[in-house]
Order: sequence, then structure tokens, then C-alpha cells
Amino acid sequence: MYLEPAANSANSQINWRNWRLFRVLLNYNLRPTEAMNPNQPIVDVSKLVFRYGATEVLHEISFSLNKGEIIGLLGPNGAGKSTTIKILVGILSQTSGHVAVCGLSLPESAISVKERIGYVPESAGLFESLSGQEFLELSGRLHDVEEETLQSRIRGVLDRFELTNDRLRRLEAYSKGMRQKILIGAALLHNPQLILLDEPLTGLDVDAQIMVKDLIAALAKDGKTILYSSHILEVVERICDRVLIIHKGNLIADGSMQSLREATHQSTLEDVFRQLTHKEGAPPSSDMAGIIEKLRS
Amino acid sequence: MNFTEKLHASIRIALRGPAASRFLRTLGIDPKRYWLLMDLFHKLSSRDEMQGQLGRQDRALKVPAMWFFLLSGVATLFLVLFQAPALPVLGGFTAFTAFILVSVLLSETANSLVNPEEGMALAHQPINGATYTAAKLSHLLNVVIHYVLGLNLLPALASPLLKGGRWFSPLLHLFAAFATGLFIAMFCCSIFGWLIRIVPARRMKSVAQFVQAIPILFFSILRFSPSGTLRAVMAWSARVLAPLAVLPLWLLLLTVFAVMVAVTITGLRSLSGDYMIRVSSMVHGSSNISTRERRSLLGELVRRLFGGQVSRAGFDYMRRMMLRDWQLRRQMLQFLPMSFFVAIGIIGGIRVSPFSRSFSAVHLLPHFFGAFLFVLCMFLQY
Repeated sequence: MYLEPAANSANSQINWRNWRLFRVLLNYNLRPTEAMNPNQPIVDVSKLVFRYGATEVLHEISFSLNKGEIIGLLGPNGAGKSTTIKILVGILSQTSGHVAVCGLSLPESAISVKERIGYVPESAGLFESLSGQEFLELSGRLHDVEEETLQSRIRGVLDRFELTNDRLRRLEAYSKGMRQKILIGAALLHNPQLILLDEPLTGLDVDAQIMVKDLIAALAKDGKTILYSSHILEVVERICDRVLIIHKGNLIADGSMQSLREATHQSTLEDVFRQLTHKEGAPPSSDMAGIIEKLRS
Repeated sequence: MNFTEKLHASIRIALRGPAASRFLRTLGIDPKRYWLLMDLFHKLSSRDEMQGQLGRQDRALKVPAMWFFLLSGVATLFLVLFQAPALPVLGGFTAFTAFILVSVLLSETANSLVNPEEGMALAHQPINGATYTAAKLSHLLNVVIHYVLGLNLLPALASPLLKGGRWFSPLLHLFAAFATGLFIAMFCCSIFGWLIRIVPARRMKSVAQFVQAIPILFFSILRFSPSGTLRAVMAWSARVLAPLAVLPLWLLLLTVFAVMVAVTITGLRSLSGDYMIRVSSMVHGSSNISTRERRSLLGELVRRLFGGQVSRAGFDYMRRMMLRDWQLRRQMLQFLPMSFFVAIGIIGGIRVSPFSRSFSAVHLLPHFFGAFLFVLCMFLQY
């Protein structure tokens, strides 16, 4: 059963049956983030520059994320979305600029930051020979979750994602969607303050996609901050409070859906995105007919 | 539970106990996560997911150790029969152990640290560099134990029977061999610690390949370079180092030892620093490199002679993988210096009679075909 859209887009289409189950799942023993001031943004990025060798991938981008927000991170392929997320996770180190997550500077406090965040990577970094249960146990234990609590949360995750019967099978036998569910579950087991999702819906079936969207909304309601990188604009439009658009390493838009629509005089996020990122160079859709001609030749 | 199982269980309890945990913490290693990673790596190796690490592959480690055990046993038999002096025997075996371990451990360390495929799955987990590196390199200790025992157990036990041998000679021999082994293991790790500190992450894989080839290169130069080269190098070194001769020997040895220890410790500290942050750049080190646009003539030949475009696709794929695959290049590179110097040796000694008493590389020519086939079989697994 879905409720009518409310003021906050994050809560607009929550499946309340899922919501109650997530509340059980999210019944964490909250660890306070010692370094954080309640009014401080959970992520603070200022003049971030990143280079791969001589190639500058990110050019002095600045933004901040506040507690309880769901932020969509959009951009064409190769724009720098995943690089930005990896820097926030502490996997990559910025070339210059200031990055702070949960009040802790990166890369100096990378370990403390990793304890406080949950990350679902774009390409599944899994140990194929472990079972789903073993992988979740490993993730939880590495985050020092108390064993009894961990087992209870794992049961909850496996149950919610309908993986209980497959929990003892090796991950190499899992489908793409099942692996994605395991990665999402592993990212949540330790009650992170900030959750970074890099294309989390990849490979998921329709039911699982709906459930993940509900989960995101439930997490935001619980005070978590979610940075959600995706190519699926409709989903971003539906669940995100705010959108960041990165194009060729520059942050070209940062605002609520409403403000972006007004600023660009467009009605949908797809049109906003198209206007902001396809100004030059991109072929209009009518040119695609030329490709078909070429393939026929 | 039999005796071996009980022994294993007690060792396990002792290693994971509070005293061992305190020791690990003093090194900056988080004991809980260290043992989680050790268990994980053990599980992955036993399920054949983590390969190419000798210290974690029981059979691959025991077979060469057994061969060393047998060969050193035969050598010991002769040494006892001919009453060789104990001290030079100890020096000789320790030096040989050192050479073998440098060759093996450089390659093992490179494979563990420079190609941390599983590092990508763990990079976002809260594991500090010291803990991850310690867990990754603990298997080197297994290599040291097996190789040192394989090479030195029988000579050490027989050492009291040698000329000048004493009752404590076995202990002295094993202590010297283990100390050398441990130092070499730490030194190999420190070399890569220095490299990680100096070399840009994206170039680490290429540089590591050359570092691995150094022992073979050194051996090849020593064995196959034209006669007189080594003597000339030694004479030149003696001239350069002559001013140091005014210093007492103990001071020189102490200085060399102190420098080695400082270099090793600094290198190891580099590994425990921001290693985890460099993992991603190292794994994807060469992914940004562009390739040249060209069509291979050999590919065209394969297409014409062996079944069209499909064969060409297979041929081109294999050819490119052989040139770009890090593991293959890493192993092939070790054979290049030796092949080069052997070729020089054969060309230089081509006129030597097969019946002459003087040694020439040309005498080994028939064996090279066997060696070539052996190398070819090694690479067939790719």
C-alpha cells in the first residue's frame, strides 16, 4: 500500500510494510559520532581537486551534505561521480582541497571515516568463494559489531532481501541482483551515519528496486544521510531531496529538484540534465539514425 | 582430538591470546581485524580463490622444501664424509639460503603487495595499513620456515660431526639461518615499502617487475659475464672503498648493520602508513594508459591461414594479454636476463671443444632445450 505524496519527496512513496521491517532492522545501538557538532554538515567538500597522473578528473568542486538528506549525484559517464564517492569513502586521496566526513578530515582520518559510513560500490567487490552469510559476517565483524547483534541483523537483512534460503551458497553462484543485495546489506550492518550508494539498483529486479527505494527513504527518515549516484533519473527525481550534477569534473548544479526546474525552466529532471550537460558535442537523437545506416552497410 | 590437533589448538589459543594481542598493538596492528583477515585469506586460499601466494599453498610450499631437504641431506653426507670445517659450512648454507629466499620472497612480496586484487573488496573497510599489510605478509613467514628447515635442518643436525663442530653447533646453525631468513623477509618488504613511498602508484607494477628480476640478473652477471669482468668490478670497488680501510672493521660492520636496520624499519613503516589508499591506484595502475591503433600483420596471416576472423580474434586477444597481463610479464621477465647471458655465453664459447676440460656455457646447450620446454609448460597454464 502506498501513501499519497507528502511534502518531503523522500517519504512520498514508502511502502509502510517495508518501513516497519526496516525499523526493526535499523534498531541499532547507536554510537555517537564524537567529532560531530549537530549543526555541522555530515560531508564538507571544499575546492576538491583530483588527478589521475597528469589528467585532472575533478576541478575544485565544493559542496556539503546535511544530516537526513538524500542527495542524488548525477553526471554523464566519466564525469567524476565514482571518483568523488571513492574520495569520500577514503579509498582515494584527493590531490588538493579539503574533505571532511562526519567532522573528520580525509585522508588523515580515513579509518575513523570508514567506521562511520556504508558504501555500496559500483562494481561488486566480493569474495566469490564466500557464502552470502560469510560475507555479511566478515563485513560486520570488520566493523566490530557485537556478535549477537550482528547475527540478528544478518537474519533481518537476509530475510528482507529474500536470501535466507541462499545464504549458504557461494557468492559465485549468486545472480547479479543477489550480489547487489548482499553488498547493500553489508553496507548497513554497522549502522552507518552516511551511506554512499554507487549505482545500487544495477541488476536488481523490479521488486528489489522498489524495496531498495523504500529502504533509502526509511534510512533518511532514521536520520541517515544518503548520497545516491545513479543514471536512472526517474528514481533520483522521485527519492532525492537534492541533486548534484557533475559534468567533466565540474559541479555544474547543486540544488533541490524544484530550484533546478525553476532555474532551467524545465519540467523534468531528464530535461534539466539534458540542458545542463548536452550543451555541446553530444549528438541529437535524430543523428542515431546515421548509426543504423552504418551498421547496415 | 589427537596430539597434532591439540598442538595446533594450543598454538592458536596462544597466538590469539592477550599477550600476542598486546604485542601486535605495539606494532600498530589491530589484533581483532588481523585475525579476521588471516582467517579470510586462509579460507580464500583453501577454496582456490586467492592464488599465486606460495606461503598459503600447502603443497606448492612443501614440495620444494622436501627437495631442498633431500639435496641438503646428500650434500651433508659428503661434507661429513670429507670432514669439512663446520664454520665455512654454516656460512655456505646460510648464504645459499639467503640467495634462495631473496629470489622467492621478492617475488612473493611483489605479488602480495603490488597486485592486491582482494584489496579492492577491503579498501572501504576500516582496516589500517599496518593490519592489512601484516595479514598480507604473514604468509612470508611460512615460506621462511619451510625453506630454512628444508635447506638447513640436516646440515645443522650433522654439524657436530664436522671438523671443529661443537655440541651447540646445530642451535647456532638454525639460529643463523632463521635470523637471516627473517631479516631477508623484512628487507624484501621494506624494499617495496620504499618503492611505494617513492614510485607513483600507477607505475608500481612495472617497477616491481624489474625489482623481482634483480637476483636473477645478479646471478646471471656473476655466472655468465665474460671472464675478468667480475675481477675488474671487484678491483674497482676495492679502489673506491679503500679510504674506508682506515676505520676499524667492527665500526664498519656496525655502520653497515645500522644502515640496513634503518632502511628496513623506514621501509616497513611506509607499508603501514597509507598503503590501503594506494591499493586502488595500484590495482588500476595501467587502466588509464591508451593503446596504439594498429592492425597486426601476424593477425592478418592467422586470419588467412587458420580459419578467418574468429581465429584472428583469438590470436589477437592472446597476443595482447601476453603483453599486458601483469602476472605473465612478471614471470617472463625473470627469465630474460638469464636467457640473455646464456646466449652470450654460448656465442662466446661456440668454438670450445665438447671434450675440453674447461667449462663453457656451450656444454649446457642440450639442457637448454629441456629448460625451454619446462618454461613453456609453466606458461601454458595461462
